[in-house]
Amino acid sequence: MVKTSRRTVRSSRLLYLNKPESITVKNNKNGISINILKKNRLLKVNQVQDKWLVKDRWWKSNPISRYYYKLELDTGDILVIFKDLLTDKWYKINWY
Amino acid sequence: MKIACVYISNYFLQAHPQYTNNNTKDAVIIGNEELGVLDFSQEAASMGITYDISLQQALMFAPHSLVLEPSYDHYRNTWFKLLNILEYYSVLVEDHKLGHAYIQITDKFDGPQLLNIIKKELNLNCNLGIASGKFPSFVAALHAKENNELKIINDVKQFLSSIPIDVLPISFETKKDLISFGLRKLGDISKQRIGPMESQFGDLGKFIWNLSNGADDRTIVSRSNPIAVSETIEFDYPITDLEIVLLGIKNITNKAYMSDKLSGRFAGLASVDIYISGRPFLKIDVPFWNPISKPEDAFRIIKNSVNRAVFNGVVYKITLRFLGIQGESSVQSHFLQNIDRDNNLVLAINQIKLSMNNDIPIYKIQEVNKWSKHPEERFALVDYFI
Repeated sequence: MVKTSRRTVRSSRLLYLNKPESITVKNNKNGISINILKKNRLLKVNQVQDKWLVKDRWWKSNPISRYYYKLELDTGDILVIFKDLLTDKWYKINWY
Repeated sequence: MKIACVYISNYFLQAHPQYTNNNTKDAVIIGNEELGVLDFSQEAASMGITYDISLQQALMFAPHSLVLEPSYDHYRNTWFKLLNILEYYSVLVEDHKLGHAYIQITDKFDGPQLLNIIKKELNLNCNLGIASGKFPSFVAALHAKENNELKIINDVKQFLSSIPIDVLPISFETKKDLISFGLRKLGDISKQRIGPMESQFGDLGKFIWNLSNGADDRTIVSRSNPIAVSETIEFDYPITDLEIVLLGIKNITNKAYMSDKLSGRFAGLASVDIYISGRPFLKIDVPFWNPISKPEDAFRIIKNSVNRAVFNGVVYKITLRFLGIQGESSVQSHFLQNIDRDNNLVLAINQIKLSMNNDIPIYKIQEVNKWSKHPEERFALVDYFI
């Protein structure tokens, strides 16, 4: 019989996956074009499908304030990026 | 029985949406840092790019090449469209892998017409090889000199005799062994007697000898279960709002899963036809990674695909078909499979620990905060305890 592997998860041992990836975003006349520096590739945006604001933990020492954009790229792929309003930096994130 | 092999060389390149649109003459590489090089253009090949190198190495050989991220959804959708076309020509279609299919044909089969339709509908150049078995038809398609060429083989043994053994569907090690015996071409193998081949390689030797002589009795494995469940919704008045379209799809998804054919079973593919006033209908094929037995799961994936599709105009009808319907859902069999899987996992982890002197941390991926507003907090690596 296999013993259960379930034990209480201690937050100190958690290594979060899916960390936001830093990107640079350029705005031009035709809309937003995104340059993902890590892979040194230029991704072109077809349209902005959705945008929303998340403000959280404002009562704590590590508040979160982000403006998210759901983008459709010209390849047809969907990309979610956000602007950290506290640092003015852009990040890419896997939403699903 | 005649078999036609449909083979698309450089499928990942040809089917890539950007490559198709750009018609670039620069060197093009499909791949990313994780996968390495998945496919590349002729121009890239002339610069020394091969499949077994990393993307970084490829960019050293061809620094100015255009790198395109693989688009798997698009590859699968295009491939399913091609298989649907093939089903107009034959009831027996084998989906061997992306870019490679077999169909059983009759004397009335019109090869050039099929090639033209694939070119016209999907803008794909493919080779077609026709022979008496799967293997010779594959080799024929592989050795068609130009794209979009039809090659019909009548004298199979004669045709195969000059072909190198690389085309055989066997491991690299066995190929090395064959070469060590001086058997470099299929003709070299067919000249041998079957006895020595069998005594040296066992059943595999017999298989290789048969293939080299053009005898391949493997039958076509039909690609999908013919059972399909279809539901349609017609709107009383034309719809322009995507939310209402999605609501309609949700409605017919639930209805389809309540039908006798699909209830308690798993569907492998959904096909959505959206009828738009004054335009040809929009067909969206949604393949599921794992067959799905719950309408809410199916709808979530269909919704993502419909959200991505661009359609302008008013919608008056939607038809949804579920295909690839398989097996009854069985809690008991899944439970046993899990135990088997867990036992194997424990064995593997113990072996790793022993070989590393019990000195390595082992983690598993766990969903720690499913509903977090911040996606990076949803999954984490946690200690794995046996």
